[in-house]
Amino acid sequence: MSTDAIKQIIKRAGSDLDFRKLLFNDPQAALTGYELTIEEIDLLKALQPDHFDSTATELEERVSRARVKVSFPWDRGDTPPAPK
Amino acid sequence: MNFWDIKPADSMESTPGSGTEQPASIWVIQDPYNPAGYKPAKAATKDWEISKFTGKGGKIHTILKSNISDSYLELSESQSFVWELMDGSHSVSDLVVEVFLRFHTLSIEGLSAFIDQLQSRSLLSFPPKVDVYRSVQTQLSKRSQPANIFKRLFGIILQSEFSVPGIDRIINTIYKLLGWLVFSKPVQFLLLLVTLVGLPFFYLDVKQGDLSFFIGAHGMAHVGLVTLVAAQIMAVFVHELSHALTTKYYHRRVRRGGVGLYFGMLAFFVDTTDIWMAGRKSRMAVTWAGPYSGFILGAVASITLMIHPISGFIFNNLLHTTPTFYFDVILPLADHRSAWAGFMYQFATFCYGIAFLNLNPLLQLDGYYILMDWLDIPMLRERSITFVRQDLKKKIQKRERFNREEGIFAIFGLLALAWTGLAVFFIIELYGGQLYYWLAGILGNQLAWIVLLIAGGAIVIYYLWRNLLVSHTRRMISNA
Repeated sequence: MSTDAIKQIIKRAGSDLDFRKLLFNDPQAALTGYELTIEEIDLLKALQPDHFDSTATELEERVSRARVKVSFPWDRGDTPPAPK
Repeated sequence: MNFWDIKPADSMESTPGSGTEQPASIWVIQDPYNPAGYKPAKAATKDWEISKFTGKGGKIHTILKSNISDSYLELSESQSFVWELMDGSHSVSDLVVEVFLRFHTLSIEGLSAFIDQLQSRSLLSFPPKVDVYRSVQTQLSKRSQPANIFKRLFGIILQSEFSVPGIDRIINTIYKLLGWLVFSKPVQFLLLLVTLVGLPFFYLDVKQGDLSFFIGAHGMAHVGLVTLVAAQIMAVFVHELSHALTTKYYHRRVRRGGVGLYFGMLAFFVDTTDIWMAGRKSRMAVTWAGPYSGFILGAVASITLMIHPISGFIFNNLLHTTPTFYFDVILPLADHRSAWAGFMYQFATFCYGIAFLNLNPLLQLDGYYILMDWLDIPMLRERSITFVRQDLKKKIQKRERFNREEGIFAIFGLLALAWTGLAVFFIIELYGGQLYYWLAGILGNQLAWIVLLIAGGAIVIYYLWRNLLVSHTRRMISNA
C-alpha cells in the first residue's frame, strides 16, 4: 500500500490546496493519471478531512486549596453563648 | 487561513534593498514558499518529558510535559505517533503521508494545529511563538491607573498566593527525614486501623455532649476562639502537606505551595499538577492523601479524647506521681472541660469536616479529582459542562443513544450545574439577607428592597451584555 503514487498524492494534497479540495470533492478526477490499485483508489475515495485530533488535550492544573474559615453560630444571626 | 494555505503571493516576500522590507514571518525564515517542507524537531531532551501508562480498560495514555512552559498535554494515539517522528528529518508533508499510511486519515489542518500547539508550548526546537496577547496584557496591567489599583487590591483579596521559594526541595527534605516512614506498610496498616476505630470514637465524643465546638475550654469563649482558629490552621496545613508528601512518594515535583487569600479567607495551597506524569492510581493516591490525613488526625484526636481520663489514671499510678502533680496537672487534663480537651474536640471536628467537604465531587476539590481519575476522563468538569450546553439538547431531540462518556458528561454536567445554582442561591440567601437587614436599618424596608433589586438587576444586565458582546466578537472573528 505504501506505493510512491500514494505518497505523491498525499504530499501534493498537503501542499496544493486546489488539489486537496478536488481530492475530497471529486476523487475520481483527482486520481486520474496515477497508477493505483483498486484498494488504494477505494481508500483514497473514502478519505474524510479532519480525522486527525487537531490539538492535544491541555491537562488542567491540580491545585489543592484548603481555607481557614472562622465560622461561629452568631455568623448566622444567633447570639453568642454566654460564658459559664 | 493556516500555514498550509500560504502561497508565494501571500508570504511576506520582499526585495532586499527595495525599501519595501517587511518583518519576516516565522514561516519565511525556513522556507518562504513551502511551509509543508518545514521539518519539525523536538526541543532539547532536557526541555520535555514524556510518560506512557495504561489507564482504564487498557487505554494507553501519553502525557507530554514541557519543562519550559510548565504545561502538560495528553496526546492521542496519532499525535503520539507524529511526536515520535519529529526528529528534524521528516517534513510536515512527510508526516502527513506517515499519518495516512498508519491511520488512513488525512487532516492537514489538524496536523498544522498540533504543530502550532507544540510550538507554542516550546516543545519544538523551532523558535517559540510570541504570545502577543499576553505581552499586551502585561503592558496594560503595568499602567498605574487608580482603577487598576482597586482592581489589583480586589484581586489580592479574591485570590492571591504566596508561594514558598524552593518548596519542592523543602518537601523533599521532610519526606527523606520522616515522610517516608508514613508510607511504609506497617505504618500504613496502623493508620488504617486508627482511622477505622476513630470514627465510632468521634461519634461517642459527640454523643457525650459535654464538649462545645465553639466555646472550647472551661466555657470560655475567648479561649475557644483562639483554639478554633489554631485547630483549623493545623488541620488544613496537614491536609496540604499530605498531598505534597504523597507527590514526593511518587517521585514527582511539587510545583508550588504556600499560603494565600481565597475569597478573603486565609488558605494553604499546594500544586501537584506534576502527578499527571504518573499513573492513574498514583494520581488518586495523591488526591486521597488530603482527606485521608483528616480522617487519621480526626481519629487520633477522638481516640485521645475518649481514653485520656484513663491515661491520667495510669499515669498517676504507674509513675507514682505526687498528689500535687495529680491534682494540678493530670486531673485538669482528664477534665472534659479542660482547654486541652476543648481543643482536641475542635481539632477532630475540623479534620473530619475538611475531609468530608473535600470529598464532594461536584466542587473542584479532592473528590472531583478522585472521580475524574477513577473514570479516567481528564477535564471532566469542563467537558461535561460544554456537553450539557452544546450537545445534550440536540441529542435528546434526535433521540440518539449516549455512549459511556456522553452519559457521564450528561449526569455530571447537570449535577455540577445544579450544585453551582444551589450554592449561588445559598450565598444570596445568606449574604443577601445580611445586606438587606443592614440596608433596611439605614434606608428603611421598602427602599432597601428597591436598592437591592436595582443592584441585582444591574449585575444580571451587565453579565448578559458582556456575554452578548463576547459571542458577537467571536462570530465576527470566525466570519473574517
